[in-house]
Amino acid sequence: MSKKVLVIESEPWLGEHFENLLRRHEFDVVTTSNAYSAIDMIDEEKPDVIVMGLMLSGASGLGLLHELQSYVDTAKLPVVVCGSAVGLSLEELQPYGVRRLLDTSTMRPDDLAAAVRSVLS
Amino acid sequence: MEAQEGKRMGGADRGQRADEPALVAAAAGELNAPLVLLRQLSLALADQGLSASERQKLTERMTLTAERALRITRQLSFHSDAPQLIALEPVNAVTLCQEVVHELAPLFRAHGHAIAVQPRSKIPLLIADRELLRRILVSFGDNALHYGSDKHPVRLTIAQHDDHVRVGVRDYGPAVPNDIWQRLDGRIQRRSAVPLARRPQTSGVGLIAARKLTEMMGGTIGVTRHRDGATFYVDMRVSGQMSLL
Repeated sequence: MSKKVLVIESEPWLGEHFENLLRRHEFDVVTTSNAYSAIDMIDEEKPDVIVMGLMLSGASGLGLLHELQSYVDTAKLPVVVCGSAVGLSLEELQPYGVRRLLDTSTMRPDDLAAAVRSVLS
Repeated sequence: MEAQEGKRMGGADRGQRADEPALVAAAAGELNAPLVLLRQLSLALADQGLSASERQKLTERMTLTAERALRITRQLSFHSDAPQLIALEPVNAVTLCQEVVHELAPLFRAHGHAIAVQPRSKIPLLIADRELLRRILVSFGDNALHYGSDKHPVRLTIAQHDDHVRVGVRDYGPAVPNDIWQRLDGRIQRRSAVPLARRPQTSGVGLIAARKLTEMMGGTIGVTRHRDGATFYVDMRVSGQMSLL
């Protein structure tokens, strides 16, 4: 059974691109651009991994990450952050459940699926 | 102040220079988003397995994204040159808003969204640099596109309040129930200190520059937060020309 990935990206075309990249690697993908709807989707879709940016509509990505850390069932959900010039290191984001940090200004198409696989293994 | 209509404001505004580093940082941040998107779209275009229609879609998106980046650079140029170039004149807000809608409509359509002017009559002329105000409203529209829902068109609103005309860009995000709003928003604002203005695509040029440029034209800028979105607006003085008509 394919693993489910929730993509949360404020830039819809970038979100769609990530979705296509992950589908190509046979992940089951759901996408949203908004932090609030992401909270609902996490409850409904029960993703295995979250791929997200930090600048989101409705609330900041850090706000969402903090919210996820507040609940037992979401605190251990692995998160891959895709961002550019976010000014934060992986070490700073790890307490928020972030397992991989991809720089969108340098990442190649296959990097995303590789990052998702690495946090699932 | 009415006597300034049609004249150029002379001299550099030294006050604005103090915030230059913040503006440069904001501009870098804001330009980053379309450039990242362009890069990712071009990488996607390199995929040999794409159909002709997929290629066409990607190409169109790259063009629209490049235009978005160019609008940001144009706004930066305006900011740099504005103190010498601002030419205040009576401006019809309704026709100006229609021009903004005309400029942004292709980008909105490509995202499956819509933008429209809320019809208004009997709105007096306002005082502004027409091109500068247009750029500010386009910047608000750009921001609204990325925040708004596809179920509600972004609306440009125009209203007179005493001696000024308020021109706003109203977007509709998802409606958030009050209890969740209070719980999440209060917490998020405290923890991560992200103000409303710091929404995606609004890292700075759209607001830092817009505020300064609006003030240079004798107006003010503001935002009203709604439960299901926000209105970014400028308040510009009413033109005295109306009373002569």
